[in-house]
Amino acid sequence: MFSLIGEVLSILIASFIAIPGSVIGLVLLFLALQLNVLKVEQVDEVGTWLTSNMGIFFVPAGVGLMTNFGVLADTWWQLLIIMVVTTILMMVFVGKVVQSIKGLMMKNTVVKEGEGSRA
Amino acid sequence: MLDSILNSPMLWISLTVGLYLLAGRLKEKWPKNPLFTPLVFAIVMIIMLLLATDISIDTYNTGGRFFSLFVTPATVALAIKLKKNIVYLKKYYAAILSGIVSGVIFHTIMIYAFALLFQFDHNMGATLLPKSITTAIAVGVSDSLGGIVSLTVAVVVFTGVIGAVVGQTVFKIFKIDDPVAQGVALGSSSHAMGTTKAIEMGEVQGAMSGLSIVVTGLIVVVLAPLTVPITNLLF
Repeated sequence: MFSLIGEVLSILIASFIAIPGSVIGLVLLFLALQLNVLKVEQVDEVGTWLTSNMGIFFVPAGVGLMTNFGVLADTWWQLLIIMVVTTILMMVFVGKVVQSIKGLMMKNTVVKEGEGSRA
Repeated sequence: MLDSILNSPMLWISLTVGLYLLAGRLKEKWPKNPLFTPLVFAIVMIIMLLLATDISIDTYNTGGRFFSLFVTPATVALAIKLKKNIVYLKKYYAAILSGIVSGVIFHTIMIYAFALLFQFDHNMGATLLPKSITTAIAVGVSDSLGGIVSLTVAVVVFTGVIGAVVGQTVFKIFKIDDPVAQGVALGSSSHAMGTTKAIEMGEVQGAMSGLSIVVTGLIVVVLAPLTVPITNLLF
């Protein structure tokens, strides 16, 4: 099962442009699932294992942070402000946009078919 | 003798797995403490250990690099999540897509504004641009734009923690009460960690949030190359 994904992977390594190879792989696998080349059941087990334990794969990348302590010493408070402010604003912005557009669409469907109550 | 033990990959692999699992246990006991998020806990402990013992990161990476090998397959596996939740996207695609696309653009503008305000160089901008997307994709984007990858990982993780912690309060203050909107907002602003919160809030929120992680990641990947000329213009 793993080799199935592996095969998809090997195609993408060649196309290493600005788009990360892993993302090309993601799109390819999605298309394969969508077009029924692959069935979800065929990749579900290994896929769920990979995504549910995903955090641990990034530990070494995070540990690499210790080589950047120099940068952090000067900028940590600026980074902190950026992270807190942009994350909250992004959440409010996206939430509001989705809510209002969905609200508009709901009104239309309620009038037309009356199935708006199912969220 | 000590050298050969230190250079054994198994030592570092066991240490990483051990700390990760330990954090999972601690998390069960104190679910509110973000320090016990397994990824955060393992990173912090290993950095402290390496600093305290004066062992270099290259030594750690004799074992650590085995974990990095799985980043790509794990990212590819996100396609399965997308496939499972695609029904939700079909139902509300107009609201979700316009919310996420405009959100990503809004977020990019905010990062630029702050980068100019704090007089960061373009590497720092590239490091911060992908901060709201899932680590797997963020690492690739940061790398291709010339950012500092390890710092991106830290920023992404921290963003996730912030999102998960403030989410419910933000929704209350700004009266975002629609479950679809809550899920999309959490997933697009704070990826997998926001999604764990979304799952707690409800089934719809969880599914929408999981879907939004992938959609937001893909949109950022598509839009990121467009930022290069803007970056060159500004910095």
